[in-house]
Formats: sequence, C-alpha cells, structure tokens
Amino acid sequence: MRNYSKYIIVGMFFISLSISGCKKSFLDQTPEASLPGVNFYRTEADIKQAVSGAYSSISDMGRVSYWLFGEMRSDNTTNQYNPSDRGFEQREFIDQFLVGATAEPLQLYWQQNYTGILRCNEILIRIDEVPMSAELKNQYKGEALFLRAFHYFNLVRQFGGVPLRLTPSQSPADARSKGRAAPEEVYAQVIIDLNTAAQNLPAKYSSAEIGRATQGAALSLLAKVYMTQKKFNEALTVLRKVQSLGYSLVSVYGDIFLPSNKNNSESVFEIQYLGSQPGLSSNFLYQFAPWSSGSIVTGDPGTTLGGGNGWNIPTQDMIDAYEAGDLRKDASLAEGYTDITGEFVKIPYVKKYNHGIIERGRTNDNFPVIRYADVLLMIAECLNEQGFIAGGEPFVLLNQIRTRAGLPVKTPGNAIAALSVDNQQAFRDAILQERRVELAFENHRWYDLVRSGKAVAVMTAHGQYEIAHKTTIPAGSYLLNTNKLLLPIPQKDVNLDNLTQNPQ
Amino acid sequence: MQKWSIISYLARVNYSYKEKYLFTGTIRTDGSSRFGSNKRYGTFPSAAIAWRISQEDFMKKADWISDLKLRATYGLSGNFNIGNYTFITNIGSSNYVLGGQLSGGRVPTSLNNPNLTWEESSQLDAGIDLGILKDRLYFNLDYYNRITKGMLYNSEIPLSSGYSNAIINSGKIQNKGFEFGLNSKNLQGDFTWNTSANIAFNRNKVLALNENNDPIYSGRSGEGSYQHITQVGHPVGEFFGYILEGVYKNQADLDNSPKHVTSVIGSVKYKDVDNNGIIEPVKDFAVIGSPQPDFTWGLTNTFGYKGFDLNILLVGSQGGQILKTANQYLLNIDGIFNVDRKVLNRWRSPENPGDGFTPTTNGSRVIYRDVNSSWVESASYMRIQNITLGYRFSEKFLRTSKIIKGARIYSSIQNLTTFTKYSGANPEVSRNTISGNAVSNALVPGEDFTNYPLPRTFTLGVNLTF
Repeated sequence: MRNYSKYIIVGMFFISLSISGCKKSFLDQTPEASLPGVNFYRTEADIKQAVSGAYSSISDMGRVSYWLFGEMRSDNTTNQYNPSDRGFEQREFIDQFLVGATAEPLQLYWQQNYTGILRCNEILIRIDEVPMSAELKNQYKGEALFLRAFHYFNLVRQFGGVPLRLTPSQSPADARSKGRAAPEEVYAQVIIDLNTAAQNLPAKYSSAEIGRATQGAALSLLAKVYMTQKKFNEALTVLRKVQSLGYSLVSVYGDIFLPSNKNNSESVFEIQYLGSQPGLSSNFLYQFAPWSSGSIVTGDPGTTLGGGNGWNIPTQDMIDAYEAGDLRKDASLAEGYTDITGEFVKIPYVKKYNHGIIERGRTNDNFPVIRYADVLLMIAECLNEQGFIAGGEPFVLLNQIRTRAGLPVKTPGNAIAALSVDNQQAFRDAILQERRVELAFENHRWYDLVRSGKAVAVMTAHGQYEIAHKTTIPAGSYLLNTNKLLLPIPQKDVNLDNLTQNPQ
Repeated sequence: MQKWSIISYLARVNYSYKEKYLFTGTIRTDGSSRFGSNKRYGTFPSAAIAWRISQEDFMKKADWISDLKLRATYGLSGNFNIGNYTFITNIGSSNYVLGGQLSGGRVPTSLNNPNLTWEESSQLDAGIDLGILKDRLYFNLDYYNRITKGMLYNSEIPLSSGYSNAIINSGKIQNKGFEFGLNSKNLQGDFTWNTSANIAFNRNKVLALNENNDPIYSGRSGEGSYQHITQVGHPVGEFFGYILEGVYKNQADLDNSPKHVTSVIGSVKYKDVDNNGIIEPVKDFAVIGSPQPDFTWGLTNTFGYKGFDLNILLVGSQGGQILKTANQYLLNIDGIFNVDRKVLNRWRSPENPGDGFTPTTNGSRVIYRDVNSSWVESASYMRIQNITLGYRFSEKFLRTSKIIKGARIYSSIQNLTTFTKYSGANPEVSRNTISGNAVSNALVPGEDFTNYPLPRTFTLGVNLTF
C-alpha cells in the first residue's frame, strides 16, 4: 500500500483559457445587425427615431383595432356575414356583445395600446440624459406624453381602470404591474400628460415634420377627456385655446378626406399613412368593401376578397340618420354597388376612405383622429351644458357644420319641428345627431354613446333590429347592460398579472 | 452576423488503483456572453467512481464472469442553449410617416434580463456492467435522476409590460429513468449473428415552476388559444384543449347541454370543464394528452457469412401522443379548404348523424378548428430505420490487384417503413418555432404542424481501400 503512488495518474490540470484582466470585455457581446437597448436612446438622432417608433403604434392600431372598437361596436356599422370564411368570428362577437376574455382581437387591442405606452415610457425615462436643444427635447417629450395619453384614454374608456405603467419594466422579474389602477387615477394621469404635452408642443410644424402631434391635438384630446368625465367647464377652457390656434373648416366636406389634402386646415390630428411604402400604407378601402363586391368597389381586379373584407358596414339606421340633402352622406357611404350583371346589390359600405389604390393592397388614405369640426361641436356641447341659450354661439357653431353639409339651420322656435331646438335636452340631442353624421366612420360614435349615457338603449334597439333582419346572429347577442359597456380584460393578463376581471 | 463567446476553466483528476477502483473528479467554471452581466459564470463540479468487481481476487473463481463493474456519477452541468443577446433589450425598426415621407422609427423588441444565467442540472447516475462468457453476453443497466433548476425558457409576461414574453430562469424539473442495454453474440463461426438491444424509460415531472407555482401555458393555436400546459406534479408540456364529447344530436340535446354562442344542432359538443353552462376557449380547456413516451427502444441484428454482412436496425417509441395541430386547416369546415376524409362522416341530420364525432358544416365551425382532444393521436411507432447488405471481397480475390487493398460493395435503405397508427406523415415530431430559439420549443413538445415526412433513402456504395 505504501507505493501506490505509482498507480496514481494525477495531474491533468489544464486551463483552456486564461486571459486575465479582460474577462469582462471578452464576454461582452452585443449584436451588430440590430441595436442593443443599452447603446440606444443616447443621441438626438436616437430619440428622433424612438419617437417615430412610438407613432408607429398608432398606425398599427389604426388599421383594424381602432375602428373595430370605436366604430363597429356602435350602432353606426356592422359587418357582412361571410358564410364561407369564419376566420374572423371574434370580430363579429365584438359587434354583437359576445366577446370573451380570450378573444384574439381584444388581446391585440390591449397589447397595441400597451406596446405604444412602453415606447413612450422608454423615451420619457431616457430623454433627460440626452444632449439636445431644450426646445427639441420638450417637443419630443410632449409627443411621447400625447401618445401615452392617447393610449391610456383608449384603454380607460374601453376597459375601465387598467394597470398604470409610467416606467418601463427593467427585467422579467418586474414585468408585473401593481394591478388595475382606479379609472380616476388613469384619467388623472392622462390629464397631467396632456397638460404637459400642450405646454411643450408647438402649434405648427414645418412641412417636413407635419403629422406630429401639435398643441392643438393635445388640447383637443384633453377636452375630450374632460367631456368624458362631464367636466364641461374645464373642457371649454381648453377648447377656447384650440379656437385661437388658426384652424378652419375645409369648405367641401368630401375634400377633408382626400389623400391629396392630408393634414389640411381642419385636421387637428390624423394617423399618417403612405401608399407608396409597403409597410406604411393603409387599406381601409379593402377592409370596408363588401366581400361579395369583387373588384367593383376596390377597383383592384387582382385581389380576391374574403374574410378580411366586408367590415364596418353602415347600418340602415346610420343611412337613415342623414337628413335629405345632406352632402355628407354621399361623401361618407354608398348604399350598395352595381354588380357585373348590372344589378344593384344593396349592401352599403363606407366610402370616406375610397380614393383608389396606389399598388395592389395599398392605399394612401390617412385616418382622422380629431378634426376642427369635432372641436366646434364640442364647444357647442360644452356651452349648452353650462345652460341652454335660445340662440347665440352654440347655435352658430352647430349651424356652421350644418351649412357646410348643405342643410338648413336649426333654431329655437323653428316653424319646421325637425329644425326646432328649444331646450337644453333638445340641443344635446341635436349635437349627438350632428356628431353622428359629421364624424361617421371616424371612430367617435361608440364613445359618444357611452359618455351621453345612451349606449345601452341605443345599442339594444340596434341589436333588436339586427336580430330581426339577419338569420346569422348567434343566440345571446346584444344583451346589453352597463357591464357590457366595458370590455373584458384579456384573460392572459388576468392570469399573468393577477388582474380582476370586469363583471360581464 | 452574430457572435458569442465562452470562457472555461477546467480541472480533472483521474485515479485508478489496480484497475479495481477508479475515480474521476472534474470541476469547471464557464462564463458565457449569452447571460446577463450579473450572472455570467457557472461552476459545475462532478465526480465518478467505479468498482471493477471482476478484478477482485474473490471473483477469480467465477471465471464465467468476464467483466463486472459498478459505476456511480454525480455532477452538475450547465445549459446555455439560448439565442445570443437575449439578455439585453434589443431595438428593432418600426417606421412612421412624417412630412409625407418615411420616418425611420426604432422600438424596443425584447426585455432586458440582467439576471439571466445558466440552467443547472444535477445528475446522479448509477450503473452496472456485466459481461459473461468472455463478453459473449454483455449487459448494462443504468439508473439516472436529473434535476434541472433555473430552467431557461421563453416565459409569457403580462402584455401590459409592452412585451409578450421574455427568456427567464425558473422552475425545477426532474427526469429520471432506467436504460437497459444488451449485446449478444448469438452465433459465432462461419455464420455470425450479433444482437444489440436497448430500451429506455424516462419519467419527466415538474417539481416547481415559479413563485406561486402557477401553471405555464404555451403554444398558440390558429384561434389564438394555448395548446400546452406545464404544471407542478405533471410532465412538461402536456396538451391542453377542449374535450370533444360528440355533437349535439338533436334539439333536446342542444337545449340541455352547455354550449358555445355559435352552437347549433349537429355542431361540435365539448365538455364544459368549468361547469358554468357556457363553452369558452381556454376556460373549458383541460389536459388532453402528453407527448412523453412510456419507453423508447432500439434493436440491431447483424449477420455475417463469408464476405456478406447484413445489418438491420429497428427503432421505436411506445406510449407517447401527438397533437396534430395541422388539423386547424385539415378540419377547417368553412368550405374553402381541402379537408380530412373523416369530414365525409359528418352529422347531416338527426337521422343521419355520421360517426357521432364529426360535426355539421352549418355552424359553430370556428371552435371545431380550435385545439381539442380529437387532435390527440398515439405517437407509438416501430420503424425499420436501416437495412444494410454488404459484401467484402476476399483478400485472395484482390491479390491480383497491386493498388486495391480492400473492397466492399453495399446497399442500404434508410427509413424503409414505419408501423404506426398515426395519421400524419411522421410520428416523430416537433415544431420549430418562429423565434428560432431552442428553448422556446421545450414547452411546446409533440406538435405536428404539417411537419415534413422523413425521406426514404436508398444507397448503393463501394468502399475501396488503397
């Protein structure tokens, strides 16, 4: 046993690498083809790109989710049932108040808003360290705050209180939120953000920068927030500021939406699309065309229509809402199309965004978010909420919109009953009606119905009409109550973030 | 181009005493660029001992035992099989339009994780090797128990973070099992016949997942639902979906059963898992199967006679299941797809109910193409993996040639045929996910999403030695 050392084979001891002193840098590998976050948000150019990235959230959302939840859910539009392609059934469920917490479009809408919020938060926490002029820094901050407020305003109106995230997560360990904030907290933050944005943002941009959020956009959105909370005095104060910023109505209603007339004098804020760039174009023309219309509505014989088409179809009630002689009707919708056999097919469609295609599948139409006509109607509404005045400014504003549409003025004590507006409630109704037709298919109707307290009654009536006139409405559709005015929180976040679900 | 780097320090000690007692000790420390700056290094020691009983004096009498060895190993090992740069926030592009022109936009696309580190496994192995009759029969038996901690996987995170998932370390998973091998020289002499067989039993169980041990849902069906669930006490990545009970046979059946808003007579009838009277995706999902096989096996028979050699390799797997997610297309009954033949046997009327499990094409079509128990099939199979027949020319024959020293011609068939009840192309499946990230597959096993079938390969060959 003494000499078993001779059996020992020891000593294979090797160190494959020992570059002492440079261990850290040796293991620091960062991607070259894409940018790592640690090296981004450092220069003025980085921030400029980050702000454009934040805007891209709204162009993504604008393509479907924006109209799906703002317009198609309302009584203005519905969809054309497609028996041979059930691929978008969940969209129909949104229209029919059947949407469940696991629905894909619901989750996407939530996700798109929060992706936008993240992009804004990243800018907001980094920008202070970045060397650039104070003026530009303020502007970029203002834009990020405007966009964040826009997303939270969408969320709080559709879901109620939501997780309020004002800084980005730093690691998966803190990816959870603190739970749903109260709706008032969300509104309070939206108001703070929009006030700061309004202070920071310029009233106008040079033509190379046009499309960015302006002071007018922040103030108009802020007024909408106040009006949703029924704070009409606060809303009026900010709307008066918008009035001083030099906006004016475009004289011909249909011209407002022309791609050749983007960002016109009436435009307060619109989502920018560019038909010549594949990823940046819009395609409302296709989505809103009846799927049965072949190339007649789109003018594009190369694209076969199917499940992705026939959405946001105007209801009969919407068509009937236009008074005789309203010039806006023909600019906004068609009651049907003439097929190749020469027969008129009575499936109405939205044509506000039909200005031809640039390439197959691509159009150059922007989408309006806030127009000056909306601002004027908001002012009229706020004034009326302060107390009915027989005549005066509220009527002037209302009639300014009506006159452009080729309609006779509404007045107190008018000999024609339909044109007579004689008390506060009648003026409210007149405003809601005017907003419906003036702003049709611009994603205001649902929110107007909810904030006016009319959503349950109006949507119940709409549902009864739909059920009576269609055989394809599933059982249990349009069972409205106030709970149904809020969407369910996406199940994924209920599970992953332990959020309380809205009662359905 | 991507780059990654690893730095390793390794030390090993081998010790052997009279070829009877063997010991190996290893310790290594590895640092990887793929991990967060806080935790790049992992240290992984291991030790192995073996006792060669057949060398002991007291075994000398049992001369029919040619080899007998007991072995045990215990060690830690690390896994860094994730994509590069996953621990840092990556910035991608997402453009907008300003001034009527493209304005280049940049956005964060993944979440920073400075604490991302090695997935660590501790494994105990114990085995016995036994050779008898001069190794004419040789057995191995191995038992192993591997515990994997801090599993690297692509975890879902709340969407309100602005991201949908992130690579994290979490959970604890056990894999344990037996492996048994046998080599036998059945016939020796002019005609030789050797058999080599192995069989492996693995049991996989999740021991822990996260803080609250909430289940992890993974996968995504065409309708946006989860397809897999991983929960404590169960194997990883069980299939998760509706339980198909049949179709609504008549009005009374429809009236008295839980239903989806689109249900009609003859449409698909799923189990109301949460008992609320309404059929809804995810909420009415349950475990519907598991891809983990009971055992896998292989069998090789080699025959030789004079210059001829014949080799036949069979492999198989028993007891696992497949989730045929291609059914989201194959059972899309909207009428715009080519569909599975079984749709011929669909419900047409209460009098003509078909096979009782295939619904009418008139309603409720969307939930029928969401993940459900009719997609789960047995993945058991036996495959003739390879047959090779060769002939080696004798040296006598080759002596005439000055150049060629040896010559063999052979032909082989790879993947001759597979015996399985599985209706798809290949019962050995796994979907490659879009991210190209190895770990993201771990939680979505056993899915057949129109995988390519295995090719059958015929080979004719000549080996020449000069």
